[in-house]
Amino acid sequence: MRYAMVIDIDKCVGCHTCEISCKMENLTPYGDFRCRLLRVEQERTPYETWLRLSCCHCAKPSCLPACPAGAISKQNNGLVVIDQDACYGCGKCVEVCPYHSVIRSSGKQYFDLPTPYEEMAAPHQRHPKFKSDKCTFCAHRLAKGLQPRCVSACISNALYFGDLDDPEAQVSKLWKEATPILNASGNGPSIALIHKDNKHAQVPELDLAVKNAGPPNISCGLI
Amino acid sequence: MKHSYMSRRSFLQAAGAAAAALSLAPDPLFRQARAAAAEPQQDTFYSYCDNCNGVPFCGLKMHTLDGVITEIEPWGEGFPASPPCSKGYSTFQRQYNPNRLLYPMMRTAPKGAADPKFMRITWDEAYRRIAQALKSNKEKYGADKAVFYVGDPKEPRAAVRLLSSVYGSINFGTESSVNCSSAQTMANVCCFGTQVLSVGLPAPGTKCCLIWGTNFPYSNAPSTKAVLRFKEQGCKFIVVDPRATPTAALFADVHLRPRTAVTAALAAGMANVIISENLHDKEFCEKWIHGWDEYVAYVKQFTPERTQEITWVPKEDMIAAARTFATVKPSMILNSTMSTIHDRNAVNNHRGMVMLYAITGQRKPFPGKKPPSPFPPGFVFWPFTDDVFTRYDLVKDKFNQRLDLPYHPAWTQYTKQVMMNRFPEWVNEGKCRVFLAWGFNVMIWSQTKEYVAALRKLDFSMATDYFYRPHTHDELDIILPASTNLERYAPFAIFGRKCYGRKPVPALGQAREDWRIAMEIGKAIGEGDKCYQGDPVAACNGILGWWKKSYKDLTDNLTKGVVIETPYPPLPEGEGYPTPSGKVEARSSLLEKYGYPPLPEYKEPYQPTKEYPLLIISGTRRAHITHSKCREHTPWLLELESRPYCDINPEDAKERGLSTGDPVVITSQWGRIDAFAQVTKLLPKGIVGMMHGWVQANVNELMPREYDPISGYPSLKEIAVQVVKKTA
Repeated sequence: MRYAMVIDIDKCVGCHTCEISCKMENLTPYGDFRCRLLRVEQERTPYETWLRLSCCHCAKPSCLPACPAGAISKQNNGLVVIDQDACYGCGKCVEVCPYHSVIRSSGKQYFDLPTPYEEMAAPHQRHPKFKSDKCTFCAHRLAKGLQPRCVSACISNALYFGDLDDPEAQVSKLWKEATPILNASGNGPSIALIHKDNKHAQVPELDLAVKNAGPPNISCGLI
Repeated sequence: MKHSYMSRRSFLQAAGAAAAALSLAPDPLFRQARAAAAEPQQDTFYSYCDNCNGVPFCGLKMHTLDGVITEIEPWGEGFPASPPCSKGYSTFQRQYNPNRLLYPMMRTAPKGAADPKFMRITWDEAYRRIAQALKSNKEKYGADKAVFYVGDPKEPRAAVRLLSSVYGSINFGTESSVNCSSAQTMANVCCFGTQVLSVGLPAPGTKCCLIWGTNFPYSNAPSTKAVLRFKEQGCKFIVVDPRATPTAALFADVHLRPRTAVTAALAAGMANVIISENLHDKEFCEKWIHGWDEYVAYVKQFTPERTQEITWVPKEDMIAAARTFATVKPSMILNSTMSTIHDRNAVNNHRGMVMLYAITGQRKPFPGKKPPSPFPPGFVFWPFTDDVFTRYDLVKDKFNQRLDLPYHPAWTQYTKQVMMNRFPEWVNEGKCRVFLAWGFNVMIWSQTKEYVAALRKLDFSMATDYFYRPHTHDELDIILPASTNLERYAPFAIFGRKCYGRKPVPALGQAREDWRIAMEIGKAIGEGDKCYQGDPVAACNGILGWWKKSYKDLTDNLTKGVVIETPYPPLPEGEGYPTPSGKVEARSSLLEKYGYPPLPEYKEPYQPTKEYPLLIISGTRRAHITHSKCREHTPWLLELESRPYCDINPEDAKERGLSTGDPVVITSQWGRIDAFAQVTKLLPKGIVGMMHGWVQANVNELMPREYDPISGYPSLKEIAVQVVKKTA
């Protein structure tokens, strides 16, 4: 089993629903985005393309060997997992991730007072300060047979998710035509793009945007 | 960087009342419910998002644990308005924002004081004071001197209109009678007698869709998937928008990028192409268009060359668009509800657009001159603001007391919502002395400061809200805590003949549903019988009773909804349109009667000058923000854009030495604001864009108090500004 995501950038409208539904699902702290949208202005057209960026659950993750605590592991289902009990917050994984998608948790609350839903947070919604944090493909939802929240929330069916080892899964069929995100990283990411009908999208420009994305724990979308 | 919200603590400092501090402490509020149950209690609730408009009623399903919402999901399979977007999910955070207004508050300092010193009072006390103010106003000055207003959320419109009627004031207005979308409906009504252009979805079978000035993935998210299906099936798309929106990027086969406020000219230019190339429906036009010959003569003036000069759209593109629209049929127009009507030619702009639909002969005469309605008999849009429920009979004899009558007489024939933009004049002339508002934001008005000054002069004013908003509330007497979208019963949702109820979560603190507040004020002035004794469910039953249904039917069939089968009465003989002439009116009888030019004429908008070289579009919506109420108290959304940005084209930015993030000063003939530059190709060279509703950069302070004479709609998308780097 190997979980993977295909993003149809022809269909993404940049609505931010993936980011905000992720916020609700995972209650990440103020400023921390596990999933974020990059806005890419195309060179040759007046239009923008949007790219949902998160941990790519790489086949050869840069973060894993970089972790001095041995807190990062690759599971049989393809998920790259951080054991936050073992993590001591050195930030090495944050530095080496070519997708700029590991966060050193800010631990900051949104309000001066805790909200009732924060007080009742489930284990996956707790984010100890300075520990590494990233997209889990909503492993807690996968365990219940659900899709990651961003996928089920997408308003334009731009996200596909499933098991690449299942040849009948739509994601497997789409994967054949898809371009892995920032393929030059050599990491073998589990997120790829399809764009064949998009007269405006340019994969090199998207790759450049990923390279220049900057740290994930600042406001990102429009700025 | 921390948000600059009004924290609870600072609100209390503003309130200046130690007693209030104790009463507002949130701690026991949530824990009580949880302490009561030993095992975590799970439950499911249903309601709708209100962050766009209430309609489209995007369905939300809430999962709770011990009474606390822990998750929001789409309503479920088969629900018509789905899925919700970022705005819907974020209502979860807003719901539990510790800064929510949860108790009635009354000012204790005099008007004009820097600190209004709001202090907590009881609901009984609040109602007693409101009723006293209404009574005294009626005795001294007359009921019409009290103005009732519903801003956003729009949900309480029907209940507040009812209150206004039972009190005896005809002066009821809404944000649709300030600057929302009603001018486009009025344009449809002037031509066809009814709304014919779609603001939602293309009709089934549409082969060409002209999307004019709307970016629906951001403003009507649930349409996105459906419109994508049209694209996949080969439907042609023409997009008219100065901005390079996702709609244009994803859909446009032809993308026209006119300057702002020239819709009437572009439409006339396209009509001229269609007519001179004989692509129009000749038989239909001659038989069914009132004023056809005059209209043809008028649009002939808009040659492709002249149209290009006025609109900045290359004539080849305009001609291609006109030909496609007229030949790839059935075609239709998916129009904006805002962008083409926020200038001094609002109604005529939109009439020009509607005429394109007319001359291609795509809306055949209605049997019985009656437009078919997908809704059950008696239902009107906006939901439930019909004359029967709102007891318009109680005020209809007071038509001459309408405060907008001297300014916009044709408007008063079109709608029962009083055009609100002359509010300062009303107050200064003593025509408005009491102002009761629901969901009110003073920044909706151009030259906001004049309206703030007017609020200060009122004898009495109140507003309901989810939050204390100093910019609006500091000149009011009483602010009342309204239940959120997740805590309310009314109104129920209606999709064609299908109705859905709600199962709301209990309200936090002492928040009350806005329908209840309106009807309880009715009760307090002695009209409880007419106001369903203040019970929103009883009021809904009053409406559902017309169709032999009740709210219980809706809750019994909560997820699947209830179909109303009540038939319409038989149609009268004949066919035509519900206009004075019975035809489609290129020459509007209504406008002619009130002395306006009867054809959909173009009026020259403001032009860029040397001093003010850039045009500005206000309210260039973000995907995650429709109204500013989304932003102020929902940090998840604010975080996506935490400062007021002015979108500016790279070339314009380069000329000014600007990079993204640079502080800028925007000036117009009428005002000045400070913002930050965001360099983007979204805007073409020569046009900048700015989102509305930023307290620290209120774009409406740049706008003139100038209005479309027909509708009274303000000039928000046509003026010229200068943008310069702010120097320390």
